[in-house]
Amino acid sequence: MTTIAVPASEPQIAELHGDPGGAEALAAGLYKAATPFEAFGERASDGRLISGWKGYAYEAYRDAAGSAGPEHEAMHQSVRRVARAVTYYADTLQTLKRDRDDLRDRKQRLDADRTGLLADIEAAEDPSESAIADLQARARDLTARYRDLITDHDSWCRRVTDNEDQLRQSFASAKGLKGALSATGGATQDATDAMNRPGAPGSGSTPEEVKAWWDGLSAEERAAVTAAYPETIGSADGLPASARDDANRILLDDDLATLGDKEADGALTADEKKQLANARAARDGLQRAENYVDPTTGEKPGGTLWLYDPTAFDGDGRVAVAVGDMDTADDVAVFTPGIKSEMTDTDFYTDKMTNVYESARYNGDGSSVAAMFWLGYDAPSGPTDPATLTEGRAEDGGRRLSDALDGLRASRPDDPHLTAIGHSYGSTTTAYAASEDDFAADDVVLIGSPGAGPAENADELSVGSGHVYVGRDSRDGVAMLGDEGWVGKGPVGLGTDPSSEDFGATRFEAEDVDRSSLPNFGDAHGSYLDDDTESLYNIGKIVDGHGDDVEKAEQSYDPWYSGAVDPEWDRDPTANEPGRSDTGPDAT
Amino acid sequence: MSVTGIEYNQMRSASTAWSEQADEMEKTSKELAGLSVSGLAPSVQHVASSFMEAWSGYAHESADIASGFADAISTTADHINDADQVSKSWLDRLDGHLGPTR
Repeated sequence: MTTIAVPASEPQIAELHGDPGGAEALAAGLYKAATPFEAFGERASDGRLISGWKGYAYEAYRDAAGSAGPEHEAMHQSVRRVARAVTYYADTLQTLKRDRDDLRDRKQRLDADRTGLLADIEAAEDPSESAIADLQARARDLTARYRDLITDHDSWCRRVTDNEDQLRQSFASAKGLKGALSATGGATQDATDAMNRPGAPGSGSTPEEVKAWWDGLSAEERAAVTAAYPETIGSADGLPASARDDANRILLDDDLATLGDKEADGALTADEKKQLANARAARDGLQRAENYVDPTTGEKPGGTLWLYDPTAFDGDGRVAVAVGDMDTADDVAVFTPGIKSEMTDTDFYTDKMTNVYESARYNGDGSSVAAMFWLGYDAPSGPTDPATLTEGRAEDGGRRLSDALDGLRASRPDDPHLTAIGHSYGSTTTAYAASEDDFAADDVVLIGSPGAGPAENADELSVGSGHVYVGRDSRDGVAMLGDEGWVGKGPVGLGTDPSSEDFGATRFEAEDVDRSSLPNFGDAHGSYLDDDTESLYNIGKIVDGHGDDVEKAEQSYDPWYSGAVDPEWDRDPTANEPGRSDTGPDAT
Repeated sequence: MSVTGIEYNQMRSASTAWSEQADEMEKTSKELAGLSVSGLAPSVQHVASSFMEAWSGYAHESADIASGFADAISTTADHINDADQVSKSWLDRLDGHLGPTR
């Protein structure tokens, strides 16, 4: 008698309690409830001085208001922290729901296979040795798959419990008056303990130390610090992009709910209006990234809110949105924009990132890609902004960009290929970053550059001249500002033109078929990342790690006896030409 | 104390602002009490409900504090105004003339 051990149908997929939509509605209610406590605190603190009232009675009032102010500000933060914990709970619940559906589908498939196996065993009359061996192999395979399912189901159950535990603790920590008034009301003990450990972000730790700190946290502790300290986690260099994204989405939800309520009440200040516009722009950009479908696979590579700080730089904001998986992509591109760029441009630039992603994939070697729009510096506000004519913002931005890439590099356990792309003033910023000895990028791309800032030639950038690539449309008025020869052009540019012979970088084709006959500061300067352009094709090649394959262009030069010469001026540009300017499948 | 004095309208305005703040806190108290926790898992609902109840109470207490500030400022302004009127009546009776008109 032969025995075939058919595994039992298990596990019973556990029910998931709670409704993400209902939890989100609760979070919105709590965000709304937090605002009056903040207003109370501000009124008590700022309104203590009542113009023209002086005397003993006034002093008594001032003292009373003086204690009410900080208490209500603490209460505002406590309710807000709990609201954010509910947001995190709702987001996690949504993920758990999807994961449960996957587990259920797997179980159904296994059960179908099991039923089939039982039927085949039942039907087997006097089976041969090989038939028995086949049935036994199927049973063993089924057993292993059921075992995997049980393991994954157990893990899922733990995540469900953790999610509920964390929220319960958050409510509990801010329920009593002592907790409500404390500086950590709404934060769980797990969160405060974790933030006090060495290496925690915000304590001067290096990205590597922050990464080690994160790696040492349990899943519960990670969830706790994300919910309680999203500002810190969301901008912590060294943390995985997914962790930053979780935290920044909490902040975004908070702003959209809180400021949206105030807007409905007609109570927004001018600064808050700007903040809300920034938040909505980040939301739109993120949605664009999430909805983008990779035409080569038909799949959505996903979006990441890597940086979110809508009140930075006097309300211009700081933001970074990525298309693709920043934690796993083989090739990662970070794009820095130039003057006039503000957070409200997030959707526009995220769209450009989908172009970069698509070009790198479409003409690529099959490696995975992520492309991120990074506005982590205070870009000058326009041509008339005095900051545009100097390199101060670029220098400061360069340090910030370098830190961001250090953080990105440290966050990855592997060694992705990193490309830093800078456009216009952002190219000067990128050149400043790349002039640091330990710049974390492998390749540097400068497009529409008014000058390479501190670098007089490509060798001065730490990636080495062989890894510096430059795109310049011959009609781009901004890209003509840099010095192209020893004579120089005075103070109009921001250093050496990186497309020039003297600079010694690899210049790639970047002409536009729609170019005008005269130099201009419009289309010629703003089309480097447009679909089916020479520039985007070559950038895609570089991002994909194949800078050697770009379509090279002759460098410009400026002889002492005449004006600057651009050999690309007379070349006929191409568009959508395979192997030269075709950057994605044509729309049908 | 070397200086005393009030600007009556400023105090009235401050009192009104605190009164509005009190209304806002009372509204918040009611909204917190009315927030539904049914979207949360049953294991969280109890503590969430307790939280809402506690914070509805805190908001109500804040409304009382704001109301107290409003009343105190308003009453103080009235008191000072009354005292000023009394003083005025008394000072109106002063005679600063010399000679027969006195």
